[in-house]
Amino acid sequence: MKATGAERRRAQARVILAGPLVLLASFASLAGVFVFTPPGVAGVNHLVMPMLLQPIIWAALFFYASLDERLGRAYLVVLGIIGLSLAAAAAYR
Amino acid sequence: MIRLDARRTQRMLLVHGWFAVALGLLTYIVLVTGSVAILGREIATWSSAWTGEPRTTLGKGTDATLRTIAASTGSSHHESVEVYARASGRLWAFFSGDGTQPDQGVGVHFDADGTILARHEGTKVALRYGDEINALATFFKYLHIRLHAPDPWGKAITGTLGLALAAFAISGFLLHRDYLRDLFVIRRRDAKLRARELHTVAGSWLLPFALMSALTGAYMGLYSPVTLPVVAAVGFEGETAPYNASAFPPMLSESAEAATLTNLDAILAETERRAGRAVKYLEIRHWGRADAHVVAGVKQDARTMLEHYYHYAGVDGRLLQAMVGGFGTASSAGGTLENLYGMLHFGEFAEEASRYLWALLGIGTAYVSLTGMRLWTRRRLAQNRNWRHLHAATDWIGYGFPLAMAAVPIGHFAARALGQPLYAWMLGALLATLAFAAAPAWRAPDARRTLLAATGVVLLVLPLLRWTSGGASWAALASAERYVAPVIDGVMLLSGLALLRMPRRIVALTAACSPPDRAVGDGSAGRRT
Repeated sequence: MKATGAERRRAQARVILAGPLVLLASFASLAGVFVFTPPGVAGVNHLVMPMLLQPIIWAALFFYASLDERLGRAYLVVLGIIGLSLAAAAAYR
Repeated sequence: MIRLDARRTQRMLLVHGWFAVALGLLTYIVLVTGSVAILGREIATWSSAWTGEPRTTLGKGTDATLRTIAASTGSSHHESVEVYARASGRLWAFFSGDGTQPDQGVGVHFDADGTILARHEGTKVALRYGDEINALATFFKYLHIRLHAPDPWGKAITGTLGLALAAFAISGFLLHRDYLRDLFVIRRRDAKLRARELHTVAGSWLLPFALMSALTGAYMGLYSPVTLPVVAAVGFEGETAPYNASAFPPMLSESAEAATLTNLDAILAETERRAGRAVKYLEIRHWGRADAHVVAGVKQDARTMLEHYYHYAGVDGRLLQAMVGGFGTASSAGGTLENLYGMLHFGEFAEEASRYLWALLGIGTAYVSLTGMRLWTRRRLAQNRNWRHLHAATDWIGYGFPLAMAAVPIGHFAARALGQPLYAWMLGALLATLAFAAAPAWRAPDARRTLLAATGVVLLVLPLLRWTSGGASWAALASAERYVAPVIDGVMLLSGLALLRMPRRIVALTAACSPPDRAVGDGSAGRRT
């Protein structure tokens, strides 16, 4: 069965979300985790945790973006993470 | 158990398959090279077999040897001194840093008695491959870490492949209708269905290992090219030096005043008493100064199985701090988790047993990725002939890359015998063999038979090449009770014979993974094996 034009566009939108946008969100989340993680008694947790969590955040967002039937909501979540992280980075500096 | 509806299952199938098409072969290479690189100690011991006593830890006599070396290097190389047992079982000290060229240094191999075995001068990077004793193991290590591509691209690629492997593993898990049942069930009599079930069962068992390797590997690969620069950009105006100053702050206030270094043997003994394990790594910062700082590292602390570092004041030998991992001035959640990533990725939590297990699991995961690629391309090939190129490429890399890796020691031993640059010859052997393997992959009715037989021949030749290019003989090694190299020689000979005998069997076993008929349309119909 051939995909309709609307279905094709929806599939392309999902590929863009789960591909480049999720990768971007996982890198942007480095800033968010850096700003929001307490340094701890050794003063290093905020320096280490962003890098350690990035692959896990990417995996979680990738499968969320791939599986959520409500594509608009998935866009909102991923773009929200990017926006929140960038805002946190800007406020920190 | 997560049950996906038909639409989501279809989407996961696309994720699983298209990731394989785009990145499956490179992921397979990283898995195979990782499984070999984890055996670096054995590879170095084999390729540069000697009759001396192999060491993996530092003990009594280290102090006297280091003072002798320190006197010969001059104070310009006393900024940083690193001491540890190299993969070959020889001890290694690298004296470096004169302020203007911090990476320039003097590297010295020495044995348990303090006898100097070899001395090299140059940068750390140059000594990676210029050091003949560990060159082969180092070649495989950096083939895994960055595919010998220049920084930062090599690590960025392998880090991205870590993410791809995570996508394979998670999508594979989500595709199971019943994960627990799929751990055990192989019930099909039909060869094609049976091959699919073998892929599913092996993939199910290896899924936790694949996911762990993927996430920890992605962290390590992306650290220096991507994630560290991003964090440095946010918190340190784009500079990594102040990041490092915060992550690894000095424990002693700076003082360039001259002072005598405390006895290092006493520090090694004190650390062994505290940790319950011998020291594997020693670092001396500011040798001969009042702010000298000694770090003694223990790979697996007896209580926690994690890496512990013991920090001492270099002048009076007092303990400054004992901590897990290398970050900060005290143990932390971040430092502990980072340490755990390393232990898990390198399989170093239970000495040799865990490393050997990890190597086997890595090979198993590579097998799953190869069979998956063959299943995928076979199904596509039935619909469209254009997929034959990807199918041929799968055979080329799947069976040709292990052959090319087996050929790397030929380049190493030939360069050693002829006095040629080791790295260039090893890389040449790898690439030339890979180019050779392309011909049967695209032309032969079944390339696997040719490539497996060729790998068998190479493995049969390697022990002889090792010996004739200047390696220790079995008799000399046996009389010194050094059995690692002869055992590896024996394993290679047996594996070589097995591979020469295997092609008929493996072709029969994996026929189900073959394309419906690669030969159809290329003038060789009926030659299907």
